[in-house]
Amino acid sequence: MILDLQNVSFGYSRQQTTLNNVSLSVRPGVSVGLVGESGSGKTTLLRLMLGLVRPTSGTIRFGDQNLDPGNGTFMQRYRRSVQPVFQDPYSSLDPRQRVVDIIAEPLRSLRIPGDRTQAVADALEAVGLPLDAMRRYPHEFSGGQRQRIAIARAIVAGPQIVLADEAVSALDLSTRIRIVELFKTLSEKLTLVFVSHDLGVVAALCEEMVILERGQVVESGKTRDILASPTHPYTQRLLASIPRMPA
Amino acid sequence: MTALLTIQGLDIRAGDKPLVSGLSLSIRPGERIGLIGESGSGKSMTAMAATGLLPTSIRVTGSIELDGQQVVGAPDKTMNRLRGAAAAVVFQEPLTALDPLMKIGRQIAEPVRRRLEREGGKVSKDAISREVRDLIDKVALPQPERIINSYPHEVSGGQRQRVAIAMALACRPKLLIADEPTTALDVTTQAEILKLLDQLVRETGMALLFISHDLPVVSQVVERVIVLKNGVAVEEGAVNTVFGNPQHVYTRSLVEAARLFDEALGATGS
Repeated sequence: MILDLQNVSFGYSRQQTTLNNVSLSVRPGVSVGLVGESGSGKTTLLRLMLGLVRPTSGTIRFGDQNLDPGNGTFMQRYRRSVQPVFQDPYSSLDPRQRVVDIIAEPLRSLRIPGDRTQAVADALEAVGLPLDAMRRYPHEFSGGQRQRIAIARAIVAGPQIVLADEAVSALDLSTRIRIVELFKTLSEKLTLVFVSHDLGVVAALCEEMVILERGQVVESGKTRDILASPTHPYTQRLLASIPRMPA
Repeated sequence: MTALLTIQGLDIRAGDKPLVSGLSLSIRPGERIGLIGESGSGKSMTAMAATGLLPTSIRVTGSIELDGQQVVGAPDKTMNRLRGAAAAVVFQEPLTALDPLMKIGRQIAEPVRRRLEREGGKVSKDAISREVRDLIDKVALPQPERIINSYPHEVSGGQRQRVAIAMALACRPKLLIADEPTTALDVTTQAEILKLLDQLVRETGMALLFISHDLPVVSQVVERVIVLKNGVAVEEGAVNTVFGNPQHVYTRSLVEAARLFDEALGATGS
């Protein structure tokens, strides 16, 4: 188990609980999809897992340590192991930086020694972008290419886990399928936690999934099993609501 | 039967940039057509052109006949008569389509009043509020009293889209143009709105031009589809034919991608 959440609750204010008693674990090499609709708490859950906010109650463990956003030494090690990819490739890349500097950012801020240009080149190759992308700026790239740059930045430090928040939702279908394929390839080498409202994408990508409804886990397990026989009424409704291709 | 909307050789340009090129399509009364395309394909541009809503900086050439009237180059006066009566539009984002400072009841009342005036009937306050309530019923909004007295931000996204649909229906249009009407909604809400649209279109006999990038969604509500790529129609036909046996390489790639996600979901669902 790399990441383990036990009875995690969180509220942005005292009156409101955004997450209620959530428990889940991320095991090495097993990609997990966190599925829910707007307001289900999936993004908040991801923010907790990134150490951007602390749970109101409950614990998040990383290996044999507690995830403690206040502990700088721990967080440096944690950030090296857990990297995010966000939804909007237009706002998640600094428009004034060259791609090489954007991708090298984790290497700089985490003070990782070694040949940075080589590391960036390797990351670019892994995401299927040409080497000359390095010298260019984000605005020169399409949405799908930008998301590849964001993914390159996430993997450049060699993390164990990539936490992706609706990372393909802003992309057109023909681009989306290629980025999903890229995530699929990457998930052979690292563990993917994929937050999405899109069950089709999660089904194509994740071995396990966790269904959230209004801050609570209503169902979790093997993706295949849940799709074949959803037990919770909400999961059943969610599945029945997805428009399908005509036979 | 004569067509309700006939577009012939439509070209839309912004400066030197072609947005739509040589597009032709026609919709007969009661027909349901889907316009499919990815971002930048020109699908929304086509809808805006059909209702004369494009800014003057964008050049439109070719012919668009809406309910027997030429739209290209038509003055606002002509268009104002056509909008609502011939065609009404439901947009993607109900939060920006509605006036944030006006209570929902008044917003729905506005197109109702305009239609009653157009029909030359008696326009009394009672008649308007009766119609508003009917419309709220028709789009299955709960607690009509509360909805009427709420501002758009006080109701959910799905409810806002129902309000937008009610406003379009208030015009009793012959053609309903729905531009990505469920894209901003959650999947369970989307299912409800699609069902509602489908039922209303059937009941009223309106024609439907449904614009979307989402193939399975389109297949739920229309009979015929047109696939747009970079402003050019690359394929057209019955939904089942186009999705079942796509001819153009672009359509094929879209259908394959959609099927991949669909198949990942297994045999469950509708």
